[in-house]
Amino acid sequence: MPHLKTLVERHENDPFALIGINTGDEPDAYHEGVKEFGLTWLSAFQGQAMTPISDLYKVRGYPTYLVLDTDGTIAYRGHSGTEIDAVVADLLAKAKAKDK
Amino acid sequence: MRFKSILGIALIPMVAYAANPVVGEAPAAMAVAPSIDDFTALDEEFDTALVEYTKELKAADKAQRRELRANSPIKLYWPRFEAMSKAGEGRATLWLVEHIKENRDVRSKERGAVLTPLFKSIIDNHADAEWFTSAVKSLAANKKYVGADETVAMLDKAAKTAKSDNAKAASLFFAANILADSDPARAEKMMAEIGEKYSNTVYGTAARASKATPEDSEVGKVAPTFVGETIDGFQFSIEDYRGKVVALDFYGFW
Repeated sequence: MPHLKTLVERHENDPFALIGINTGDEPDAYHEGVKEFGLTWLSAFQGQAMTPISDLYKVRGYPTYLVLDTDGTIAYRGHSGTEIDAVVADLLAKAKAKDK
Repeated sequence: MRFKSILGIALIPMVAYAANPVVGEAPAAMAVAPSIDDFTALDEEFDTALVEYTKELKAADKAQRRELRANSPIKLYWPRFEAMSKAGEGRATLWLVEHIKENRDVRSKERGAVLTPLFKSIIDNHADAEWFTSAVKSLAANKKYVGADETVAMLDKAAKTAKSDNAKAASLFFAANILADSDPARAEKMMAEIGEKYSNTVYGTAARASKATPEDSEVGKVAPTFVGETIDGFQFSIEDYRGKVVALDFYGFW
């Protein structure tokens, strides 16, 4: 989580968004977690009974990260929070080059 | 003291519990059309009483606990929510169905008889409410008590009368789940209807999820579209993020 916070701050002024998809927490535990980890970005809350987004993406392990390019193409899928840094930076650099 | 008013027997008079300081003033005005503010105030009062009660219960010994339980907030507040529900405040009716499991005065075998008219009243009168999807969800969760056929019939009606696409999709989705084994053709039709008409909703996402394969979301594919909902009920679509680089983090605090 601290790592993700840094990632969000680093790309504050870039066309980048981190979206959390919470699975399996009780509402109280969720609220506590948001406070404890200082989660400021958008996060879906699926709860325990139904997990449609996790099901749609066939997520089996947690955490799972996906990085999507500006056109929605999946560029990365894996479990490493540090690996996504380079992928995000690379896609943003490509998007910037295309804009010019 | 048992509260049976919901089964058609007279309401416990308000004075019966006005003596209890936790409850405060007997709400004389409650008989006339309650407003959403009345509901919110009562709900907050109940929550406060519940926090206090939980604290007291923790500190109490066995004998004290029995006494506390005899005057638990759910027992004391149930008739007040019930009165508000009868006066037409749908949120109070939703409160009743969402709290019935905590009310030990309604035994589990009586639950269906209590719940069915409550759900019917919500579906008949509040299909345009912004909280209607919650009621649909609650109905599906109580299938065991209401009965599968009755639940499907009510969901069927809800799917037609609901105002929001998400509530319509939810009604079809839960009905299809119940019918999956007994009437797969009808279930399939309902799922197809969600896909055709209400794809861009939370329950549209759920309907597509049931057909997803791992290949749909591997590297190189276009990310499957979904609608997510925050804990506060704000809904967003991943499609709104096209043009941005997006990192999705599937996580839990557990």
